[in-house]
Amino acid sequence: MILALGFTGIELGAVLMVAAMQNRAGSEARRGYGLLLAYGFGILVLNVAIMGFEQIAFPQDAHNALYYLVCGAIFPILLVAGARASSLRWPATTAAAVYIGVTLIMLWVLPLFPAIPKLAPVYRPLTHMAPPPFPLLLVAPAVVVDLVMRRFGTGRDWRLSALVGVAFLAVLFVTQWFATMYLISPASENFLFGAHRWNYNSLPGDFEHRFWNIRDNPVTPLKLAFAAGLAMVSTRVGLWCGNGLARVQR
Amino acid sequence: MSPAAVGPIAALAAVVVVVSAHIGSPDTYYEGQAGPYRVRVIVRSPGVVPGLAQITVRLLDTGSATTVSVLPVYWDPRVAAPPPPDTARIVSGDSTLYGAALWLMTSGSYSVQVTVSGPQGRGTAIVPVQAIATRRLELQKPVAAGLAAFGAFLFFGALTIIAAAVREAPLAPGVEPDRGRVWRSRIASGVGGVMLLGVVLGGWTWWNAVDSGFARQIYQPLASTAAVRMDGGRAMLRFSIVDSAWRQHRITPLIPDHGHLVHLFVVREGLGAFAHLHPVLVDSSNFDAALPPLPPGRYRVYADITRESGFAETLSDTVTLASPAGAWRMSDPDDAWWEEHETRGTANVARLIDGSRMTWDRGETPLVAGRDAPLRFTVAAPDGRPAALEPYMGMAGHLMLTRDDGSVFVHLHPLGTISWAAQQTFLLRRPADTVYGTVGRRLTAAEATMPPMAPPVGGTVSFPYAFPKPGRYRLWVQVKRDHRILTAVFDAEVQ
Repeated sequence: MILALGFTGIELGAVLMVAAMQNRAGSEARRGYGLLLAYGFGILVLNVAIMGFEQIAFPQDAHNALYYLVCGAIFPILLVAGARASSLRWPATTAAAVYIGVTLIMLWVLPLFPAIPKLAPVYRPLTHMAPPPFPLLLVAPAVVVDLVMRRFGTGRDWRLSALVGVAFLAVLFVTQWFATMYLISPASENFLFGAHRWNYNSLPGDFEHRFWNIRDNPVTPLKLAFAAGLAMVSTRVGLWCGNGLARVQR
Repeated sequence: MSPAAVGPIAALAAVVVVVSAHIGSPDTYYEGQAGPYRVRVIVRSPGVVPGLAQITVRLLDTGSATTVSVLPVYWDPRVAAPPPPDTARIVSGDSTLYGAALWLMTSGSYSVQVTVSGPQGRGTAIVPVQAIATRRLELQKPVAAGLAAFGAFLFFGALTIIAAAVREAPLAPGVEPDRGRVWRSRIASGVGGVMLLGVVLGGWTWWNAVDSGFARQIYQPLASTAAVRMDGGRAMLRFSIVDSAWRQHRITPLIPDHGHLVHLFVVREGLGAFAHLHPVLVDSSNFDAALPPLPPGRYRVYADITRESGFAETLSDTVTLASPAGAWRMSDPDDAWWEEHETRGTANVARLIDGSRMTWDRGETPLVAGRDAPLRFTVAAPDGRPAALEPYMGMAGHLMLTRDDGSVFVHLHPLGTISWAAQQTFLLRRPADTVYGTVGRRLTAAEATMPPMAPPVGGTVSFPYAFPKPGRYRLWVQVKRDHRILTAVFDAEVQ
């Protein structure tokens, strides 16, 4: 926990410093700092995605309600704050791309390193490192966040929160609901998608190719509405944070 | 049961806390063959699971090995392959002593495979080890202090950042904040402090949940009771496994160890009387043994059992005998008992009931807790020549030892502390064994066709062991000669 507090603190500190530099910079240097700021938010997105690993990391979770509740709560605050604070044209999209990029690098590079499991039980005789699962396709809702925020501008943040919250969840739901159907299928067991790269101590079974917890926690319109509500609240808090960051001078 | 039915014998039962598979002796000692090499293996229990067990392997024969490797195996037919074994390293320049550390990841029954390679070839010994959590490791104070200091630094650092962000972050460098900003920053850091306290509280709750989850894993032996009743003028000791997990068949059944499902040891408080009995199965939870004519008193009852999973444990209870048990017709020919009398011999020489003598070759060195104890005994016939001993329940000898306060009770063989039956289950198991009782039946069939063990040579038996803690101990050594079970008694002061 102290570790989590520590690295989150460092990331937030870096974002604050870059925001101050961006806000004081001239128009030419501003774009570079804006990119750095979006990158910082991308790392924060990666951070929360790792913290919520148990709920949202596996595509097999994408047909239960908890998945959308967690996504609705944790992602808009960061994407929206970054979008409001950064001077880039596509800041939320850039942050989402950073998250996806870093995860894909892990997915593609880690399996190149030889490694063998040392602790029993070994259900899968791995010969190379096991990477994390394929990332969420956050770029799609992030593009919508950028578009809506750019079109709406500033000054109507409450209405913007409602719109961005609903739009984020709707696009995320459609993207993940259908994309994960491919990601849990045998067709995605290849180098690009890495669906076959399970940990050595996970017992092989049919759970690999089906959605989890869909009976215990099914996706219902009410639960999706609740997830959209969480996304609205998360967006509103993100706008407050982004507005604050946009004014930071030192 | 009414007092009248009990007659002159009153039975009392009370639960005694057991802290390991043996009582008060969590480490595993094994002596046997790894192919052509004779080895003594000691596995020191970490006391927590997952935990790191220290293992030492001593090569007892002359001649050197090139490598010694160790591998803890948790039986699971679904595993793809075992992890690679760890190579043990020579300990402090002694070329016959090898050491390694083993991760025991899951509670339950492990077989540790010790493989020795050298000029004479390659051989493996299987050592059953019980991985059980017996304690909860305390967070070390320096570590706790360090973490608390880091936590406090981060906590107050975060408050400082919040205050600075509200007070002066939006101002151009060099501009002083006004009173309003100062107050807003104070309020913001107060609110932030409350929120961070919530985070800390969440962490505290999580920590406690993990801690109580671990506490639930701490080993508890199967609940059991012992009681005495009169049956046709005979005093019968009934030992019952009453644990709900047992009665609901949630754990694997018992398997016979040396031909008996249960080995019962009845030890009088004060250690003046002792019996080693093998009760008869009444049903799957109850076992009856006829009590020998033990003197009245309070007795500790220990029951050694081995489950089909290879998990061996000692259950215990107490009973009180109000008067002597009377005539005895033994339940099993392997039953034996002993009562203290004046002429049992000197400190190192015990007189046995058939006139022979057993000598403890303990040497001059004092016994020290945690160090190899010289538990080597020689039996001389009445004419002074080495006695011709017979295997007693398949073993050259049996040694039971207890600390005078009852905090330690161990049943040893020349193989060590391990259960022979547990070792056999690891050898006889097959991946398709999914029905309870399959391995037990196979073990019984295999035991019937096994050639009898070679009798002890020169009347000598020895037991690999180290006393777990200082104190006064009593040892009962049992051997068989001329079809009679002989019990010798020795006392030991361990420093």
